Amino acid sequence: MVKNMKKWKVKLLYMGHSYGRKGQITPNLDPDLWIEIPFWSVLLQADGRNILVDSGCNERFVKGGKGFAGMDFYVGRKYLDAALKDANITPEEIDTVVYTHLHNDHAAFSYLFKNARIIAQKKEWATLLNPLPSMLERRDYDLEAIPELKTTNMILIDGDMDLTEGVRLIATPGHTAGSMSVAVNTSKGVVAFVADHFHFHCMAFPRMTEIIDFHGKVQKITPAPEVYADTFLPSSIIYNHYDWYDSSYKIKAIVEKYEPGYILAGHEPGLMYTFKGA
Amino acid sequence: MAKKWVGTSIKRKEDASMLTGEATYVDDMQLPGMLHCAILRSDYAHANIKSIDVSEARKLPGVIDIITGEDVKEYPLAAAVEFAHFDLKSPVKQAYLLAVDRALYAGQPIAAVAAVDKYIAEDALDLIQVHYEPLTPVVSMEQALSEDAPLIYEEWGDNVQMQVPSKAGDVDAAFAEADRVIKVKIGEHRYCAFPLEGRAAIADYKPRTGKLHTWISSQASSAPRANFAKTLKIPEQNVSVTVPHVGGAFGTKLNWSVETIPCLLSKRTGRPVKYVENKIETFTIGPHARDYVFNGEVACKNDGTILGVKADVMFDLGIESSYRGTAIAKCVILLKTFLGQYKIKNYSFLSRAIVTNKAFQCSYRAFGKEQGSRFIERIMNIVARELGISPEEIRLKNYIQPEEFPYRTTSGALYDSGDYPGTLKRVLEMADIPSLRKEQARLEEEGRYLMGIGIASFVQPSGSAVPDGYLNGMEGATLKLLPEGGFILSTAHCTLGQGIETTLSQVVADEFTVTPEDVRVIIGDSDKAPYSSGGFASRGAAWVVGAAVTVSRKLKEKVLRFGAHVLKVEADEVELKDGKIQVKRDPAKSVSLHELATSVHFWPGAIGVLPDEFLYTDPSLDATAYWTAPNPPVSWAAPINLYCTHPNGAEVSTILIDKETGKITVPKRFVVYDCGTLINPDIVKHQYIGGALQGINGILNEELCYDENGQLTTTTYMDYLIPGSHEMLGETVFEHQETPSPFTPLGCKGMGEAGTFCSVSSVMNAVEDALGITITKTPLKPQTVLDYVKEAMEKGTLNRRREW
Repeated sequence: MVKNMKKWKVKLLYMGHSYGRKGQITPNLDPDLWIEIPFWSVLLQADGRNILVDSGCNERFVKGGKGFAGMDFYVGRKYLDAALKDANITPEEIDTVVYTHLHNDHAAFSYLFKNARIIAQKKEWATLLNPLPSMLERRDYDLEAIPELKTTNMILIDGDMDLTEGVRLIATPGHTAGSMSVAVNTSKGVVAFVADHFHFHCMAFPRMTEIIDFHGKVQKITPAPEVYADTFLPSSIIYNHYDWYDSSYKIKAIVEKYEPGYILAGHEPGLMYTFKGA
Repeated sequence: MAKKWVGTSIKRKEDASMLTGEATYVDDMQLPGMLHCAILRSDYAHANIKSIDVSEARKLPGVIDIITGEDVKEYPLAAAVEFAHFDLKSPVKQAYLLAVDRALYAGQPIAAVAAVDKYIAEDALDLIQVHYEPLTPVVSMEQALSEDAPLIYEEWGDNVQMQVPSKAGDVDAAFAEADRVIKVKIGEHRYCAFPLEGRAAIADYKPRTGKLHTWISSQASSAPRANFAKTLKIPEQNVSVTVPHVGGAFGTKLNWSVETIPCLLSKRTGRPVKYVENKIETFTIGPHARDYVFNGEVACKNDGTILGVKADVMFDLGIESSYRGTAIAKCVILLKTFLGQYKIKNYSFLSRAIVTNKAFQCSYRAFGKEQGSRFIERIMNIVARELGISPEEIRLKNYIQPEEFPYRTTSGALYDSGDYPGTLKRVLEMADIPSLRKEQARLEEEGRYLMGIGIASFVQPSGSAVPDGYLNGMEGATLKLLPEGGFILSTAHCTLGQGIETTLSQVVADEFTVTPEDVRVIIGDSDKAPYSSGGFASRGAAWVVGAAVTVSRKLKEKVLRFGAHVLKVEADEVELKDGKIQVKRDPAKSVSLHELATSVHFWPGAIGVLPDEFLYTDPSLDATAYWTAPNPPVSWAAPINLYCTHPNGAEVSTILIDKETGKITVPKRFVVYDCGTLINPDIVKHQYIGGALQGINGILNEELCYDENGQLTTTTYMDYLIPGSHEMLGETVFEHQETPSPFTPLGCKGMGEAGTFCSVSSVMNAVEDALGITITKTPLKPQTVLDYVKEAMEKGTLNRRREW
């Protein structure tokens, strides 16, 4: 926590989940561990302001109940609506939407936020306009989002930015070329929402031996150092590993600088049990 | 990486050569067999050219070639800005290097001579006989718009080259809801920049190879290459433009119609031709600047909240300005700049470009922004006075708040960052208004001087990318790590005195943890560097630094890969420190950039210096990269964001009016300026102060006057007072603030023009503070000031109670 700086409230928003094997995200580790993998967004609130970080996944990516990598997907507009209703706000009340990156499970329904500025990284937009064949194949990016975003008040930034007092956007390329994280000053400490930079906490802390799953149960996992990676555990979806390591150190430096500092991983199965809001 | 050079005020690398005469300007250069060019100019503001007889002139020994309008008909000028997306009501079909059949302003080039020396060339001009048939000139905007006005371009049906209506929100509702509607009329006279060095060009056309090499005093090198090629019908790849040292430009060297004349003479004669403008030519052809009038109405609440603005803006462009200059772009730029730092949701604007038989206009420092800022800053003060609230209060009431950034204005501009209320409060604190008020009262008591205190604040749109012409947003750079460990950064950008060679070397030095002395910056050569749009609109710190950072990072990635390979570790295990690549966990294991560069150049494969994947594909220590702004304009269609960064600041100016002589002096000013991350704080400060001198002197002492025949009557420094030692400003108390821009790699914002326009508003507001009446007439020369003092005395406003 930074003492003389504005404190924000951070609320976790549940945008649905998928069901698959952990090993699909953390290659070679726990290939047979089936878990629910939720999609997390966060809502930042202070002084009547509402900043939404990521907005879930559009149902058009679910074909026959299956989404990315053949996993079962439970996503769509109803999850966003429910999450906002639970937070007691409407899409019109959101003044800023920050997209950590423009993957289809993070940047949906932008047209709903009529009064908001939509902030993303310049390099992310460039990737969306010109994705690699593998990205098209896997449908990482939603090409229909291009015309949709063009009608919004979209603002592209290049690098880090203090969005407002107590909210810092940090360029963390690696997972995608224009990924960013959001560090927020709260009364409980500095919270860094890193989205897919670390899908799970065990990627930031590879020595972890167990996780809390979606149902609140403790599950044993294989610590990465036994196999590889004793600094950070790279996921199966990283477009530039050099950048990813640099960004990982950058995130670590930030959360270690502020006592206490927290990392919120964008797909941590049991995040709602370990993080009750700040 | 610790920042070492960015943020440090090191001395400028450029100064020693310029101060000692070592620097080379165009006129210093001599080429073998070089001819000299002189230009015959129109005596009339508007006349048909019945005939031109050059036979006597041709007979003069030493005269090699003479061209007239007849010879240039096959070379129509290439337009500067196309405006293809606009519904141009009155496009100019064609414009030429020399007058064809008709002279449109006094001083327009009619004929040009190439001779073996400048004296013979000038003498030959006297022997050219031109038979004119004078026509009635149009010399003012009122006359241009009157029903019986002569039409400068018959085919238009009127004298309006372009009109741009623009609106946002619901203006009618805003005016209906308003407590007060206040009318304002704000205008400015015609004046312009006077760089010490006027236009200068050497053209060297080689007939056998068809290559044209030009050396020009210019703000850009890539754009004139295209311009010369297009106009003279030479393939662009055969044209080279080199810009040596430039003796000031301030926006005037962004059009190359005159420079094309020696190019054509060289093409015809096959010999190098030099043209160097004299000062009278600078006055008569300009390009001129300012000269506009706003008729506006402001809808506001009694508490000072501005609800809406309506305005009719007219610019006197002189003769058309899309081929000869870029002034017409002001009509659009203004719409992006007039909202200043304020949240004004509703507006309706009509901006019109009027043509008259005067010299054409082009840009002048703070092009288009000066007008917008002046308008809104003067409005704030005039409205505050009408409402009886303080100029501070009205600004704070309408400011965009720090938490609202990035902020998109109703006219489409995207403001990056800033703390407008904080900046204003800080400058007022520095100025200590109560003590200034005491001093004001003391002087009032004494009787000789009237003191005024004026505030103004501003947002400075900088780093433009204007679509549809050469003022676009292309900016590239090449960086080389040389075998002996030094760096060369090449950019086709031009240095006009901004100190960009120093600041760019600071930026590169930081990226590679070396010193600025290790980095040489090559500037202003279209052949040696990637495309650059050029130095204008405070682009340097945003665009050129953007390109320098991008190319540095690109090369750095390669350098780290090579270094890691030599050190036999992975690339993410090494870092740059003190000019060495070292292993993070074991700093004793390292290789210096010098050693690495030598190895890569001298034995790339032999001992495995290069990783295999580079050895066979890219065994170089060079990189080229471009940078573009994140939110570029994609077309002229509104709303677009023309500028990528928006620095801001606030000023307090104090002025003294000598009641007996009417002379205004500016003893002390206070400035807080925020241009994002500072590269070299002293360069920023001194550019600001220089800009302020230029702006304030423009409003106090400079004026280009035309008589009723369209003849310019101010053609020497006796009639036109450029600032000398007597006009210098007093002390400036200056403070930096740093709110980084999220749109540029280092957070820098363009800063070159800032001082020029806010200073004018704060000084005018100070004059009004002293006198208590609204000032509409400029320049504030002593006689005008005495008239205003008399008016204030008659109205009894001198010893009034002030609002703050």
